[in-house]
Amino acid sequence: MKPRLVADGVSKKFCRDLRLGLTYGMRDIGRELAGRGASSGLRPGEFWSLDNVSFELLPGQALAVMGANGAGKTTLLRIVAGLLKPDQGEVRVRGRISALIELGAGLNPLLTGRENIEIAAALQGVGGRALGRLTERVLDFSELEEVVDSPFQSYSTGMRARLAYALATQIDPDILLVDEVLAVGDLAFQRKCFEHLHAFLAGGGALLLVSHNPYQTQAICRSGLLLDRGRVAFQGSAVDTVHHILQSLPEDEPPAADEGGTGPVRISGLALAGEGGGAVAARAPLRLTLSCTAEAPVEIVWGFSIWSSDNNVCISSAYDMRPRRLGEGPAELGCTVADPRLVGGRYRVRGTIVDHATLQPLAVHGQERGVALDVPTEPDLVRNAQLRQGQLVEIDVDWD
Amino acid sequence: MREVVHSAASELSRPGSFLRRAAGSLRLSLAIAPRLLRANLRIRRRRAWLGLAWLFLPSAGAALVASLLIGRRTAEMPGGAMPYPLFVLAGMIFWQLLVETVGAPLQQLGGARHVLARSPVPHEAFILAGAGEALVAALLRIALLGLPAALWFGPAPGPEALLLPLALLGLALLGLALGMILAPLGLLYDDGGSALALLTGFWFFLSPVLYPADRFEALAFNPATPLIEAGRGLLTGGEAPLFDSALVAGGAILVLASSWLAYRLAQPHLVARFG
Repeated sequence: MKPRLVADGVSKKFCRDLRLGLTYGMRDIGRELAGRGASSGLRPGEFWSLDNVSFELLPGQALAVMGANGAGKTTLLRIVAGLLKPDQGEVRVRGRISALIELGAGLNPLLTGRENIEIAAALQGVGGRALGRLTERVLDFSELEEVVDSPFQSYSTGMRARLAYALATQIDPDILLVDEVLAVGDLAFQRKCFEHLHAFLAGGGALLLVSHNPYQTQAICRSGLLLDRGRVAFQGSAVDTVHHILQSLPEDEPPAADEGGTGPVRISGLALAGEGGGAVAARAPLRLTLSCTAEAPVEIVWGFSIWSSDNNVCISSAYDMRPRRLGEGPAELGCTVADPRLVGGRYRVRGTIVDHATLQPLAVHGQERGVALDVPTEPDLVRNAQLRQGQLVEIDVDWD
Repeated sequence: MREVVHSAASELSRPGSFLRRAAGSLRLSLAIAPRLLRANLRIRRRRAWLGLAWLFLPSAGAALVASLLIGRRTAEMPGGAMPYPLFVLAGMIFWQLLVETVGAPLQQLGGARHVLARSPVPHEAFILAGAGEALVAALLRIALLGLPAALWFGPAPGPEALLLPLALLGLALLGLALGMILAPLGLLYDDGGSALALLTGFWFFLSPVLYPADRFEALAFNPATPLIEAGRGLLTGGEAPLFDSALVAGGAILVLASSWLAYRLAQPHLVARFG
């Protein structure tokens, strides 16, 4: 099966300085007219908006292009659509492309919906009898029969989205480029779009979808491509790509300053391990070992608390209220949590030693920062949803 | 299914593919332009209280002002036996077509900048629609101003007036050819539009609009001179330099074809800077 779309080492550069960018534009046009290709390196003020991006898209395949703002997603779509010329590499396209890069682009507010359909169809090369059929399909899909003869400027945002989506998709493209537009419109219309996209893929269409919404991307796409400042940061299944993004979300690092008390007991360390001293695993026993040194014999109780990675939420804590006598010198205090019930992600653990008689804290380890507890997780739809919504613990449920 | 390649190499490295795509885009644009033109006229009608009247009111006004200010004060200015108001009005109708077609590429592409940056649509369709709008305006001016004025002042236009569309086409081709040369520069820098306004101001006084072509030698070097003269002659039953006009129109076609292909080469670099 021949791919619908092949991007091979595609790079594109832009200039941050407007005036300099226009000068480069004139020079590039001059090079083009002289039969020379794009200049190879970066000129002063330029940066790579896309840097050596490669992928293939087969019929029936949907690729989710993800990344932060400015990662190069829209630039990639514009190159694939033939709007921009790559500065390095090439894109090979087999089939008719329809691009939904911005909702409503090209729809005139002073024309009616019907007139806009006619113009948009003409711009895609649809005319004659085909235009009548297309108009019917667009109206049927967008459910805008009642307002189709009203000026487009009187349409609500959702109605505009419906018309724009219907126009882009009902011309029977082989390759559909969709850039972050599915979030618009009501739930019923979004569901309709999902169903349409699945039918489009089942019919052999190829989809390049840019979205910040992990649910959408996982529900529609099998493959994912993560861009970071123009470079491919991750490439794999859509689920893995979403998981990669959620796992690598930047955390607010608490201050590094940490202390284990000033006396008469100091905590020198808090070790976390999995079952049998191995690596920590999800929904498995967790072993905590607190190392401390007493300057003089003292009777204590101890415990620990588990916090969210931003140190804002205490998820759980436990204290052994039985008194323990620490002799002068180093000692270790330990415990095992049979199942901390934590979902995959990063947490922080604090250890505390309290004077048994007064219940005054003698030493707190990780008061500021805590010891990092990384609970590994395998990427799947449910885990990604848990990560996405910031879920911390998991409960056991007996479903009927 | 044909494979389309977008690469860093110059389009000229695959001349066959470049010309095929250019021809395809032109074919598609010829089919689209009438629809765009109709839409533009509808928008014009809906946005202005006087609607399509604005297509010919400026010509009428300019001709009236020129006739009153110049015609009365300079008795020796009028062109031959033709009444001066008719002389100016006819010249103004054809001059305005020229100016509008020169500005059409920049105006249309600049106005569609947002669409062109986001949708793979043929740019030529917008240019042709703009040229079509200028031609419709010229036809309206002839029908509503030129012909009634010619009949009023007499003599009535002869059968040679049937050649008027050719004169209009020649002027439109010349205007488009010059407009297409300026379009890439004007789309990058705002100076393009400002310079165009300045140049057309100078050009107006080097054109046979307010005075006949034989009045000043410099007018002979203006490529628009024979076309304006021919249009005026055909409309008013006067002399029409048809041979010279055909030569200019032929040259304009060659320049237009070259500037159009050059624009296609520049297109992705322009779109990259449309934002």
